[in-house]
Amino acid sequence: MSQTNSEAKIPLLSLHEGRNQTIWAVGGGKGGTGKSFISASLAIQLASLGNDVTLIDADLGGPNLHTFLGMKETNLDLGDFITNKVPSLKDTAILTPFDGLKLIKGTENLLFMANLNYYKKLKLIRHIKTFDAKRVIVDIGTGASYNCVDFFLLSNPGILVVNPEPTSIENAYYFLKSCIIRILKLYTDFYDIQDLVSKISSHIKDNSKSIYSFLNEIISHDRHYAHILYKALKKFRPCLLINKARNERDFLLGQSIVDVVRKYLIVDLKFLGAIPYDERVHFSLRNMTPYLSAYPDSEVSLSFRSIVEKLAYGQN
Amino acid sequence: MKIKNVKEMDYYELLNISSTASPQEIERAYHLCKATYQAGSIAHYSLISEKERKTVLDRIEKAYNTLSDSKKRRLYDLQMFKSKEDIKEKAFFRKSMEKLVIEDTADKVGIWRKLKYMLFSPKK
Repeated sequence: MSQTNSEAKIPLLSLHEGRNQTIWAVGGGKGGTGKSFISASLAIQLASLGNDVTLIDADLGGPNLHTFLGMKETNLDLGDFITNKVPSLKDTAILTPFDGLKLIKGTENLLFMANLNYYKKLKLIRHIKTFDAKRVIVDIGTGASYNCVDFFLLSNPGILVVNPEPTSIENAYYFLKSCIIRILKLYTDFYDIQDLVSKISSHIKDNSKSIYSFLNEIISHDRHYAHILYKALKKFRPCLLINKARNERDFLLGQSIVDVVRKYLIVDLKFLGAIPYDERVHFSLRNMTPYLSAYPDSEVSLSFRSIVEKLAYGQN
Repeated sequence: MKIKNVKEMDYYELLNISSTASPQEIERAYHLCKATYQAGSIAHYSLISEKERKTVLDRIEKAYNTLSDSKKRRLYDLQMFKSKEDIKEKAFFRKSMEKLVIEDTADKVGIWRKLKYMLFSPKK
């Protein structure tokens, strides 16, 4: 996400331009789509290729990445950083059974963490952005709350996980729409365009308007700032991952979603590919054994390898 | 700045292909777009209405009918890109590429055999 110097001051957007660090945030709106499984698997795969990776469990209301990594008990967690028991986020990073992979575990104090206040969230985001690791993967919770959307927007890129089902697709569209509204709101707040801020606020209340009609309304109102907002939206380029694909039609669905999002939400999604459905994911969880360790040569593991290569090294 | 809705997109934008797309690319894009917007497809679930879906599908058909016919496509390109010099050049380039592709499709080995003969045949 390239930004002008002044725009780099917008606190919640991706600001690591020029820094040798990538943050992948895994989100998608609906619960049960496999976000945590995908976060854990991407992290294991990336670490196995010799990278220094930190996995952060930012599913504030339901953390369980440690279970996906086969870890039962840990001492420190995210809550210790939020409550100032440790001065820095990096102090909560713990070693995992995988070489090069560290984990920042979510806290068990769910009521407190799930309702994190704005300043605590800003502190967390600031520490994630300046985290001393080349590769950071953030697992985001369910829903399109400000917390989830803001964690998604700090990434470069965000990975939207969708199952080939109407419920999941519906939630993913709402999630993307929320991201768009959030970007517009952050920009209008930053540039202090009060009349546009009120238009955006009314749009949030009236969800029936399309992004297209909304942007055109802004263009007719103020062309200069409309241009800035349009450019800001074009910088938002998340990736799409279809999980639990059962056939070729499910794979093609990914391309179709990209097309619909481009036409109706004016966002360029990048389709990363599809992870096949595999019943053994369930068995590996039951056995508390990370799937990639138990079935390294399966179709699912090979898909993760190709997706990591595509994401990290730009290979097709 | 121009933000277009689906009704204002040109045929290339609608099928998400470049203006220099080959006939094969057009065919592929058409089938994908048709599958995306057909009734019962979940790709557009909850985002667009039934009326919008039918409008898009209608335009996809028109786009394909025009772009898959080389004569219609040439006329469409001329109308579309009248004022854009750089795109005119691209359209010309595509026209010459298209010829190559057609020759290639009619006799798949023909052109390569000819090329091989030209490049590697022993000189007399």
